[in-house]
Amino acid sequence: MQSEFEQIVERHYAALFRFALSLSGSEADAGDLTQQVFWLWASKGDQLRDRSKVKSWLFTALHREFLNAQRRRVRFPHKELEEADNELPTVPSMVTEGYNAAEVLAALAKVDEPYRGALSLFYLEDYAYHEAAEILQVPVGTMKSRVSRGIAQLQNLLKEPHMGETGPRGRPI
Amino acid sequence: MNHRTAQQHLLDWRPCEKNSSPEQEEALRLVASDPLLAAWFEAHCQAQADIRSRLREMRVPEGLKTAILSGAPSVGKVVRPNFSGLLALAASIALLLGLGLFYFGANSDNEVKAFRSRMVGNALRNYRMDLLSKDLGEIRSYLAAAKWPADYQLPVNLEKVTGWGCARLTWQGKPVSMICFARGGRPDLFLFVADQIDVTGSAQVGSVRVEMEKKLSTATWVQGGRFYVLSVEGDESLLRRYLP
Repeated sequence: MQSEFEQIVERHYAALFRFALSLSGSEADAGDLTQQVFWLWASKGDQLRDRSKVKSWLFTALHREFLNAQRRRVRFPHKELEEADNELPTVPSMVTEGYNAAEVLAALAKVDEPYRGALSLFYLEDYAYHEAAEILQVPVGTMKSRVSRGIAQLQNLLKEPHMGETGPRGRPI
Repeated sequence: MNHRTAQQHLLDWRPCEKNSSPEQEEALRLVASDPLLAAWFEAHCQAQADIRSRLREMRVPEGLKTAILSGAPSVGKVVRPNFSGLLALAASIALLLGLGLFYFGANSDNEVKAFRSRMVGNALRNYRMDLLSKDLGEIRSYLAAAKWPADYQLPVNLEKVTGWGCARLTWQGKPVSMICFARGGRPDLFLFVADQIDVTGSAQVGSVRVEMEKKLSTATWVQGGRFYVLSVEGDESLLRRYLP
């Protein structure tokens, strides 16, 4: 008979791994993040009274762990999204033909945080905006702005030639 | 609303979303009457669907679930013995004890492997140093001030190598010091130090154990209540020069 912990791992580990992979862009980092978040659940999960919220608890914890690790590595420019809205580029159709999953993932990993987390949830889990906003612990309006901004960045990255030969921030080496 | 603002409002539109904003409703009305905008919108929705489906193709590594289950702290498991006779009960207890010892041993070993794998993974990936310094004394002082493992004992030959810096890592919420050494112009020797009680099963490691981990020659050992992992970019003979 499976324990509750085993059932939760069984049910959510793949989705969490994909979320982690879309955030980090690295399979090894995603594996570490996924393991870490289940360790947190095993240690602190009993504090969650509403068991229907296990999934969003895990996603929130994973995103927080990712940001903590990220803050230790880089200082990313954080621009208020409402200010950034006016700077959205003109919007041509996004070109996705000819890109495989790995290339789309590589491009997504280059989207700036905090847009990347919002965009990952937007694509991967089909959470409603209010649910995704709850996971990222931001207002719904901010969540939507982040998705818009993220899509704009992603389509710029996908427009760049030779995705496989790009340097930092997607610029050709 | 003009063509461009309509595009911006529709950028984050999703067919599954029940509550469109008033601006999106207006933009959608414009789509119905503007063929150019309609063409853009159709291509945009198709692109979003493509990206979504491609991201969902991402493969989950085999063994991840096992690693999660073996790396997590033990969680309560309900065991309901269902035997009537005393003999059966005694036999079951003996069997459970045997299995328990076996399981504990295997689980402990898995945790040591998981720790080593995670730490070596840190060395291989882009990591950020918390302190860049060639001075091993300064590195030790920095870690001590941060209340990270700093009372480590460096093997004699490792003490002679120039430092590069250090980083504060964690393992299951517990501190792990990463000390980097550079024999040439870049860091290529990595020492990880954790408290022995924070890595289940490390006590059983005892004397030096050498194994390859993710293309790095890696040694583990326990000394003075600390659990050590040393990795080097090179073969085992190189690694052995720096072991206690």
